[in-house]
Amino acid sequence: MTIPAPPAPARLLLAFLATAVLAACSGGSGTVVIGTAGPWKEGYALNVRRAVEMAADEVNARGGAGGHPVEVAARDDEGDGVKAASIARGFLDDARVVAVVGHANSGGMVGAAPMYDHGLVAVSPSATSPEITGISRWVFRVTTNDSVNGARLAEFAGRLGSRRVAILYENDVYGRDLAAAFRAAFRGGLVGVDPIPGDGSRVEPFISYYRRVQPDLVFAAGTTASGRALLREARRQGLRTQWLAGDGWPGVQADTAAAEGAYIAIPFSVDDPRPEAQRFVAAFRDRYHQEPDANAAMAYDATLLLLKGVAEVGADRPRLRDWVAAVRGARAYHGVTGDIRFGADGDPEGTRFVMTRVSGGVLRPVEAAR
Amino acid sequence: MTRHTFGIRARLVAGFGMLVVLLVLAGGVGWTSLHSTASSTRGALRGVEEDARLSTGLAADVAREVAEAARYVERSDPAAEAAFDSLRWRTHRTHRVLRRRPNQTEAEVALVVTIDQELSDAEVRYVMARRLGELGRGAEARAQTDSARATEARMLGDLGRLAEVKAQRVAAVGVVVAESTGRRAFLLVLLLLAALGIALAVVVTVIRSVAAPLEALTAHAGRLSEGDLTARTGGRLPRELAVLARAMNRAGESLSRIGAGASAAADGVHASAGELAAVSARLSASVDEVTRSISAVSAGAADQVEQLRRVDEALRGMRAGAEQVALEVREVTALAGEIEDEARTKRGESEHTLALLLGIRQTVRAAADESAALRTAVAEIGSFATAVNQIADQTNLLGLNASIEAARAGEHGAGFGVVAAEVRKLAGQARESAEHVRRITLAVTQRVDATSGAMSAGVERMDEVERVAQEMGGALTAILGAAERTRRAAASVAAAAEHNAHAAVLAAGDVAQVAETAARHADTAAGVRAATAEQEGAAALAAEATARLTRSADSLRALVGHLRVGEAEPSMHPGEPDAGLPGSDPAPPPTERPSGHRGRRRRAAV
Repeated sequence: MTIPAPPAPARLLLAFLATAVLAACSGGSGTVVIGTAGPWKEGYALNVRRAVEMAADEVNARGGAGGHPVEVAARDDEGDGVKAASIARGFLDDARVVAVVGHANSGGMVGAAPMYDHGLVAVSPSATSPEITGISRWVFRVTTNDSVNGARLAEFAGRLGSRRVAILYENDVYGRDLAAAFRAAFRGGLVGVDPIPGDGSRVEPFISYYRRVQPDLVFAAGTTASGRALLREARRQGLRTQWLAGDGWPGVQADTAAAEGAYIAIPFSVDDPRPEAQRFVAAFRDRYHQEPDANAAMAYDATLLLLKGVAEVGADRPRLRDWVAAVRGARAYHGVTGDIRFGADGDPEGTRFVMTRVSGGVLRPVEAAR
Repeated sequence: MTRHTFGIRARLVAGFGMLVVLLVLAGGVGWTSLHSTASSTRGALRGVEEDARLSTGLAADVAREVAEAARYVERSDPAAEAAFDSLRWRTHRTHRVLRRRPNQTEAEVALVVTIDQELSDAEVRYVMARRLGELGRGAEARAQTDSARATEARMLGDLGRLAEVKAQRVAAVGVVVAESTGRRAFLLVLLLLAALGIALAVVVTVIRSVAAPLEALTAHAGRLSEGDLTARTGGRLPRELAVLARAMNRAGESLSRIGAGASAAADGVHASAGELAAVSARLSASVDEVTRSISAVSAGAADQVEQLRRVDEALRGMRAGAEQVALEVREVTALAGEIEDEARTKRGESEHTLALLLGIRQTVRAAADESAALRTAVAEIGSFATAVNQIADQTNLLGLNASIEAARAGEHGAGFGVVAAEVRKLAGQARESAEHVRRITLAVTQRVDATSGAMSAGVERMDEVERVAQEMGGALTAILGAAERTRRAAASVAAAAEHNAHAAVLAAGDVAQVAETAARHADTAAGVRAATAEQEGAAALAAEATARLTRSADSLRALVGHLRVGEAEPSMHPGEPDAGLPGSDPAPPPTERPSGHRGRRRRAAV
């Protein structure tokens, strides 16, 4: 026999009323809000936000998610776990927020996950840290786990014939995990495993040191900000080495001279020939006059997946969470990045990994790597 | 009329059953609360314990890393670098476990993340210092080390704050547990209050459901005791009270019937008393009449006695007559005896004569001629003898008739005198015949004398005389027989007369007895008259008793008339329509009541 504590009936009543209201709203009038968060000043994160807004607009143009008009609440967590947790708390307390597309980076996602664990589904498009795997039953992600990415990057480095490799990692969840995965899988010699700041500052001593030890290949486990600083400093000091990076780096190719020749592994390429991928790329270009990156594509898929769930089960958080968890096996979601299926730990099944090389400011898929 | 609902016992059982259920529920809630409080406390304490363990571990790892960092920066040997590298990953693993602890507050998450950032920053600076040192840029390296140490100091401060936060968590857990316990205690109290309320409701309901019917029954009893037998109690009652109500209703009906019966009996007694009075009057009249009749009977009995006396006298006269007859018959007998003696004498004389004749026959033979004449005279005597025979026969017949009449003397003694006269007449005739015979005998004697003279002249006729003598002897013998028969007949007549006299004596005795009986009858009549007089007195007493009976009947009627035995009136729930009409519907079963009444009853009774 379970005797609920006195406030529990009140909560049940509120939940019932809320459900009733939401059920009434599912008739079409109630606006649903999709939260999204990331370090907007970072290019990859900005692409996430843009893709989320584009997807919401497309859904609204088709009459909303199951009749619900969709709004996007975008919050800047600056990639900071503390801010991310605070923002997550805000989303949790806003009853109109039915789901979150985010957070954009692993640090934010890891910080915010404990909040979402209280009952709000979050699908990160781009947080790749292995730490996110199984962090909460409410947290999912579309992008591939860094432990998988790191192993494939190490394998690629081995194929390039690199013998002396330096690893630079942003000393945060994303950088450490990716670096650890790479380190665990790499069979060659390591000349250094050095943490660097995530904001791209103070990279000069490391570049100076590498000029001295001359590694064949420098694997950078970081994001665009630190990547751009590293590439500029290396070019400034005349460091000759092969740069290799993961999905945190898209955007560095804009610095065409410094980035030329760098290998960057991404989950999605704008050159993906599938019609839905090309349709997305074209729409993104039309809207933002810019190439979408993999983060944008995955944020687009994550947003449309969640809104499809809203259309099917209504604006109900627990039911939406269960619906997302049931996207598996034959019930795959057909997105622009391919079929999405979630495993029991919230990670996607299979890998999204396209090795590209910066060539003239553009990420060109590397045929040999495919 | 009365419908019973759940019995008092059932109500009490149901009420206390609910109470017990509620108490069991409260006990269950209490047990569950304690159990769940203990469980949640245990869980919370385990979490706190794990948090404390991890926080301590993190602090220890950080301390080791910081210590190793100093060596790593100052000595440029690969072992120090490898050791610092290993400690970095180790510390971050510990931190990750801490960060993934469930149910963290935002402040905890912020602190944990901040510590990680500060640790990361310090690590970056240490590594940078090492690289700067290797590049021979000692001043910059020291600057980075100092900066790293400053960050460390902040981090240690944050670790201290984390410990504080965790301590607050413990307190918060305590508060939560206390609140939860308080809530459950509140719920328990609520449940107990509810149980108490329900118990009170049950008690009040039971009391009300019992008290109202009890009041109604008391009122019913009061009305019964005041003689109002129309009182009825109906409606839905507790089973036990419904039984009582039915019993009282039946008692009321029975008393009504008894009252009605008593009233009718009083009326009947009154009427009977009136009839009895009339009967008494008639009885008195009839007693008078009987008295008169008895007087008449008495007078009649006296007359009868007188008449019987006269009969007695007649009988006595008859007896005297019969004695006279006997006397006269004795004379006849004596006469007949005389005749017989005379005849015997004559026969002896005749035989002597005959012997004389025989002796003289030779002498009288000569008077054979006289014989014919003597024979003629003897023939005349023969005819006379025949006449005597006839008379004798007639006397005999008369004797017979006299004896028959004597047999009838009990009824009519008068006829006896006629027979007696006839006997006397016969006796006269017999006497005349005897005289005639005597005269003839005298003539014969004369003729014999004449003959004797003639015989002397005519001896020849002697044979004829002998024969005549012999014939005369035969005739005398016949006379003798006839006289004998006459004597016997007279004896018979005398016996008959004597019998008659005896019968008359007997009849007289009978008459005396009858007279005595009549006298007794008269006495009885007198007794009856006396009894009738007593009866008359009794009739008067009966009339008086009847009057008293009438007065009693009147008072009984007045008493019974006080009882109300009309239509039954329900005493329960005044103002509520109860269809119970004892006259038309003395004891209908509950199910025959219209449902509308039942509905109202149920509302009213529960």
